[in-house]
Amino acid sequence: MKRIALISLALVLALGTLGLGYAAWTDTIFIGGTVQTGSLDLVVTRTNGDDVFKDLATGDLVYCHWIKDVGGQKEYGTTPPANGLLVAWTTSELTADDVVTVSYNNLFPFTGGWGGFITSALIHCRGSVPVHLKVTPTVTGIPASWVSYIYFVYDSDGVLVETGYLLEELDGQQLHYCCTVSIGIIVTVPQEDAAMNQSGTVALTIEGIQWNEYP
Amino acid sequence: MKKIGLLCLALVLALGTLGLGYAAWIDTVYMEGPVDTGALILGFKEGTLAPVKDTEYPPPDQHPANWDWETAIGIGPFRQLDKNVGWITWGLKDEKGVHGLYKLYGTAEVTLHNVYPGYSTEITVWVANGGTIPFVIDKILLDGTPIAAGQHVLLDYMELIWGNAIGEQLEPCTDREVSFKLRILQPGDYPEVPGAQQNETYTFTIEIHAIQWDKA
Repeated sequence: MKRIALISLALVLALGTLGLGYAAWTDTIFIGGTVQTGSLDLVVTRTNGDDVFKDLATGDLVYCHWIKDVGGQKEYGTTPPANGLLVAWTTSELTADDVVTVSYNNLFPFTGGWGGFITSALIHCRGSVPVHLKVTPTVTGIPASWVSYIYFVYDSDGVLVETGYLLEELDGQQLHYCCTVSIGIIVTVPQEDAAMNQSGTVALTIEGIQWNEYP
Repeated sequence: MKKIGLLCLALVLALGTLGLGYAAWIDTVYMEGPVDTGALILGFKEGTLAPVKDTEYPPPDQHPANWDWETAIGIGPFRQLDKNVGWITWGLKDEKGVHGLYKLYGTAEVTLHNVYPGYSTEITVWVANGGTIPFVIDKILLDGTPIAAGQHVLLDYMELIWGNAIGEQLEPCTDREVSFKLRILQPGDYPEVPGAQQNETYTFTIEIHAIQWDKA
């Protein structure tokens, strides 16, 4: 019995010594960090196109440019004739996220409107991080000389700040939150028989690159 | 009867002698006094937390003083950009008391708003010994993982370099600056991490640990 008591005493002393060796006063403070990232987003909000009619009552050509908000209906600048024959037309439709599908149909030599037949898209900068635009055109099947471009840049208040025809000058253009750019592709068919029954494609890739990584 | 009387007398005398042997003047002294232990207090010094690069002013304020900063992959020299897009808010909380003229706090909070790949900043704050015991800053942990002074650390969304102070002693009533630099990662900057994604909120915690100097 006495032996067990001695062993217990030794154990208690040993544990006490251990605690003395390890314990120390300490204090800790913390830095809590939160990182909220922004966004970069170009959104197509409106498309434009042309419908060209022959007014069967007068025989006149009636040029009707239209605009259409995404999800909305066409709104014509000039009302189509009541008795009109649709001769040539373009379509411009948001068919998927960030994809505008355009078509040019039954075109003929015509230099009214924007100097040819146009499709365009209004692109809204909805991201919180500014972007530089990088625009890459592609034309196949028809001469590149048939295709020209036009653009309008608006600030966040909707005020026109720049316009032009050369994509090289649109390249690098900065867009801030809520600024918009309208970019049109114009196809002008020359007045020559060889231009009949041609088929081709036009495409425009518009990239928005965060402004601090461009070029 | 006479015999009994003699015996009693002898007993009384004997007891009397014994009493004489034991009796003495006595006095006692006592030792007493308070025991005051010291305190080990590490805290952030009031008014010292701030970003070295960038400010708390959000867009549309485009004063050049508020323009953002960036640095190259790996965190090198800083370069100021030409816009104010991101901004920073910060504050100290969890007051630990007053030391001298300053309050000390246990937590420093920093929030980076609307930041993007390449955005970089440096955060600085002063830590103080508000106690009476010298201590050593023995370890600093980022999200629970120990980091060394000057070590480059990669998180999923940012890279960070902790500047200094590890292993250093602070005497009572002294303070020193600590700082770290960070850069938001572009996806693809480092193959092993995804980089910062858009519209995300990420959090990190840096723990600064001090231990009494004789136990470090």
